[in-house]
Amino acid sequence: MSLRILIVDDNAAFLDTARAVLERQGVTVAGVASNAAEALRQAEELVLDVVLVDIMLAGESGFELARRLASQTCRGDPAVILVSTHDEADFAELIAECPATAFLAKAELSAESLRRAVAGNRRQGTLPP
Amino acid sequence: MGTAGPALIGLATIPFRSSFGLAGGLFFMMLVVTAVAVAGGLRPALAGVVSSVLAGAFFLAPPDNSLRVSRLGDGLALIAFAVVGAAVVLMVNELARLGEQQWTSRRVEAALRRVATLVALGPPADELFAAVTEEVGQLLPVDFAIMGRYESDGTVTCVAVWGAPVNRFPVGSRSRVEGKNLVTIVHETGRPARVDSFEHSSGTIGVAGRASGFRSTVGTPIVVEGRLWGVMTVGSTRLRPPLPQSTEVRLAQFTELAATAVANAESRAEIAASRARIVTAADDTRRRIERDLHDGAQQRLVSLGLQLRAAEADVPPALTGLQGELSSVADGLAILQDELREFARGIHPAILAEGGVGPALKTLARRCTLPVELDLQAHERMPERIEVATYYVVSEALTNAAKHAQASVVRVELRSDGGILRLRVRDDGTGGADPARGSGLVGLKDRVESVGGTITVNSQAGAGTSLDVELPLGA
Repeated sequence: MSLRILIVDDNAAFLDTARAVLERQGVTVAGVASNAAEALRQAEELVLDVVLVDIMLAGESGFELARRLASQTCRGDPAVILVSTHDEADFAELIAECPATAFLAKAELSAESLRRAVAGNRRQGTLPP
Repeated sequence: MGTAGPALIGLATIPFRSSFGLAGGLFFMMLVVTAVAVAGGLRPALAGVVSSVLAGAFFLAPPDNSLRVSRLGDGLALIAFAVVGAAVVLMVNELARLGEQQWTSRRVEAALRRVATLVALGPPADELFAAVTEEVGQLLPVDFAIMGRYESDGTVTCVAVWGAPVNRFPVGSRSRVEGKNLVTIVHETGRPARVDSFEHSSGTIGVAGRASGFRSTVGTPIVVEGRLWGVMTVGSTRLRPPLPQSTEVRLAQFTELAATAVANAESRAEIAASRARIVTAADDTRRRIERDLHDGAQQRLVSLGLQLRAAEADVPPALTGLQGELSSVADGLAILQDELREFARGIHPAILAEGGVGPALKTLARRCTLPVELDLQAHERMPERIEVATYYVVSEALTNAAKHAQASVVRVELRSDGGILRLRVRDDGTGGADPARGSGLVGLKDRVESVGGTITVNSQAGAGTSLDVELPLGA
């Protein structure tokens, strides 16, 4: 069964690349959004397994969006995964505080790493409150 | 006293005059006249000389109880007494005048010295204005002193007030510079002015001055670097002679010092503002470069890397050579991304804008090669320049501790307390860091002072280094 995901990023070029690369690897990109409002709307409408959220959206905080996605009741109860070109260590404190499922460096993005992130956290049941 | 004294002595000596004689009587009278000259001034003492001569002739020189003097010697003695007495009185008077003059100029000098010392210390402006105004008020024979600053909107602000009837001119009050009165005359002419009666003064200040009972007044301009900045006014409210002619000169000595203080304060403020602008501009540039790198080169590299990995996966298994080449290019790209990320991090910490001081300091602590104890008691977001200053101070202190101090642990304390953010970084290393001998500490001083803060470095050899920083949160 392929993962159904929503990608949220303010960088259009990255959206295109990520969609192309992930779809080639068998992931269903159900939607893309470039800001928080759009992301929240789509997350409500679509049935998703994963929402990928860029930490730094133009003028908005990806952490804040992740918090709102986590508290919002969505169909399919998607895992929220933070992504960034920054290192995980650069934002470790904020990532730890954020009720997101996992963090992935953009360079590491692949169908495989997504699956691992979702499965790893589901299995351990470490979804923070 | 001057007149009656010698006469009384004359009367008192009547019983003994046979044994006492004219000379003895005149001797005592001279004592009295001298005392009067010292205590009572010129006129009473001269009157005393005259009355002494008359009393001597009447009571002491035969024939008694008559102004006639029969003996030539007595007549000469009385004349000599008159001459010597007058000379003594004049001398005493001159001495007293010189003494008074010297006393006054000492007081003036002392007051000027006090003000000059204060100017050099550079206290807050309102404090200095109050001190100058009080010195002027106490030194000159006046009932009030008011210092005003001319504003660009045609008003004058009371910046300091000394003396009794000043409830119509409280500190901070503004009045229009209009009509004809002391303040407007100084404003128009830029020169010292004198108004000996407020009866015909007009305008807000004229009316208020009249209501306050101002009589003789003098005002001098305060000129700061060629520009008319304000006015110092003094005056009397009681009926007394007009202020002495020396008032203008005296007052000018003080207003010159006040003007120097204003010029100093303005230069200091300009330097501080320019330093703040430089630091802010540098920070803005660094933030922009980091942002541009992130949004541009870094994003593009990430995309290229992803595409390359995808292409690599699609290479037919037979083409192992091509797969290996693509793989090594992808690895190279990954290293390039790491290097660029490291570079961008050094330019500006992205987490600061995103998460504030707390997460940023925790990140610094985790990155540090030494164990860092963090005690953070300031959790709310602060003005950006304060956050940036705090971050760089801690970053530099941790770097120093790790590189030079041979410390085993560093403690970072941060607390916000009554509008002031207090930061302390202590290590247990070798100490002996000298902020004067070039090092990152000098840059920190510039940065901290540019946001109105202070930094103190204690680094005695063998006692570790501690860095105390206070940053105003409100300014």
